[in-house]
Amino acid sequence: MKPPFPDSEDEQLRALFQSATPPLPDAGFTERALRRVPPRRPLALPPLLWAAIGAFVGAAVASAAIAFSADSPALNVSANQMLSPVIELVREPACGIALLLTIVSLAATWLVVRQHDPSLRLRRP
Amino acid sequence: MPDAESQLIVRVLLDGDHAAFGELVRQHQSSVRNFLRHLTRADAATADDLAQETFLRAFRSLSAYRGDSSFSTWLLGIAYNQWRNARRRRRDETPLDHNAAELTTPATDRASDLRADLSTALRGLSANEQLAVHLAYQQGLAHPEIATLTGWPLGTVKTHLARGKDKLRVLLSAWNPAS
Repeated sequence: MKPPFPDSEDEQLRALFQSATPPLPDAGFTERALRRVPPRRPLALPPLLWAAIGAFVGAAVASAAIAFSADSPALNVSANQMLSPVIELVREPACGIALLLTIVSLAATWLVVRQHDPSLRLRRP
Repeated sequence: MPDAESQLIVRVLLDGDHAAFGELVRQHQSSVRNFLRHLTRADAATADDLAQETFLRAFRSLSAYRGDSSFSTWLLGIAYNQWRNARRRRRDETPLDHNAAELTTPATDRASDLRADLSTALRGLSANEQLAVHLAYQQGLAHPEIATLTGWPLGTVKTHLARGKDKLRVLLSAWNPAS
């Protein structure tokens, strides 16, 4: 790439420097570099499928927790409580834990997929 | 950036393609190693170790490459940081001095003479002038790229280059760089 203000002197200096230092021979450098590059960890499934699996696991755990506490008073909501059933559900410890597990599960899935699949980190110009 | 190079980068990013990465290393190993040899005062072994670290770091952080500068400049920036970190680790705070100006590539007789004269001439430059001259004339970087790589303001880059060039014009007059 040429500098923004090229002139003949710059060109001549560049030619001098480059003729004094021809390209270094590879001499096994690339092979050594490739040996140090970590092998890609196997992850055949596409990232969306992994995300779906994570969401499914999270939802299953949440459902199990809610079912486990089905006889909880929190589910027998009163008329007033009908206005805020989600809040009441979250207040129930088992449901709160289930919700937390769902969030943690989704976050962990996302992190794992992001770590394994570089395409999720691709930033296009 | 050449299309072929872009495709290699995309293949590395999407598929972790080692062959594509090997091709990128092959294309850029010479400039990275030459740059590090310049910084390490022609210590070829240390320079090659740092070059290996540079490419490993590049592989791991390729997703951070946004194409704002050329891939070559991005690699040289990593190499520069590797060298600075290594120097800090060794607590070798000696600034790059006149001995840094070594050109060590084996070459033909004429190139050997030229190399010797260039090395001698570069010793007459300050460390920053040497670095600016190396990046501009050996690596072929544009002024803004040198500013990005070194962290210097653009005006400082131009000042170092102008001063370096003034000195080289005199010191290399036998090779007639200004004619």
